[in-house]
Amino acid sequence: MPVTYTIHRHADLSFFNWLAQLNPSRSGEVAHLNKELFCTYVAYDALAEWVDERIYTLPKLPQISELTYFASSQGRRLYGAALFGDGKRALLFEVFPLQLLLLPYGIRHEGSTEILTPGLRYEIHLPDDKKPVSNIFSQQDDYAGLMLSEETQSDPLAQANPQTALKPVLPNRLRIDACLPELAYVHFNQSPVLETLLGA
Amino acid sequence: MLRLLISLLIQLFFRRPAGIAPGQKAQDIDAALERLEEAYCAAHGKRYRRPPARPPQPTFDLAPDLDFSL
Repeated sequence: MPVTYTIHRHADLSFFNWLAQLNPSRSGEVAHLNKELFCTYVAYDALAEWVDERIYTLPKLPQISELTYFASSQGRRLYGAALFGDGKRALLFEVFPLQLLLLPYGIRHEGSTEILTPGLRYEIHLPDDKKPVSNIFSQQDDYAGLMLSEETQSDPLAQANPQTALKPVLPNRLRIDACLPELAYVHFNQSPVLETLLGA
Repeated sequence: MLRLLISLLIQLFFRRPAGIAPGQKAQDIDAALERLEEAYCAAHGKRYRRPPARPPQPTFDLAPDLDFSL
């Protein structure tokens, strides 16, 4: 079964508006998602060692339990979230579709050599604003691009509700397409390539 | 082939967030974590206890004081 990111939508739109407007001058700000998850954003180069080692570099934090991802409306801006404190607190750092496509091997705290491997939740959290994920990150004069969209999931074994005759609805999943000059058009979510990458 | 593909992907699509310099460190992480904890406690009706401030460290003038005479 291919591993993909499940999309979770939240009614607390103010949190996602905050995400959409973050920039380094707002480092240190705190916001909460429906008073359930408290987040802080700090201007920090979490991708300092990503190219060479595919790990996230993070400042010294209490023990990180899991990593997950958040996005502003339509997936226009993406953030990694390092969860700590019973999963009720998180440090946010901006990422891009590439970081979703190539899984991280772990995290390393500033000044440490140890690589930690918190669990990765295959989830992406979005505002429930009725706008589907739709965004293209292009590079090299729009010659190459990664495109995010979403697609429905169906469970062929799901039983229909006898009263409504409707099958339970599964959350949508994130779709990542790539347009590479050398490889033409690649749809990673459905290809064995991504499965191999994800399993690597 | 797989390594080549990964290398190509990284080469084409890696970018840093706008305004973040390579290797940039957070100057205010302790203060940010304190604010985070304070907000969490306030939302859950708990009293936040600020960690005791560290006593100021004595500072020494490291420049050699060679200007003396017996």
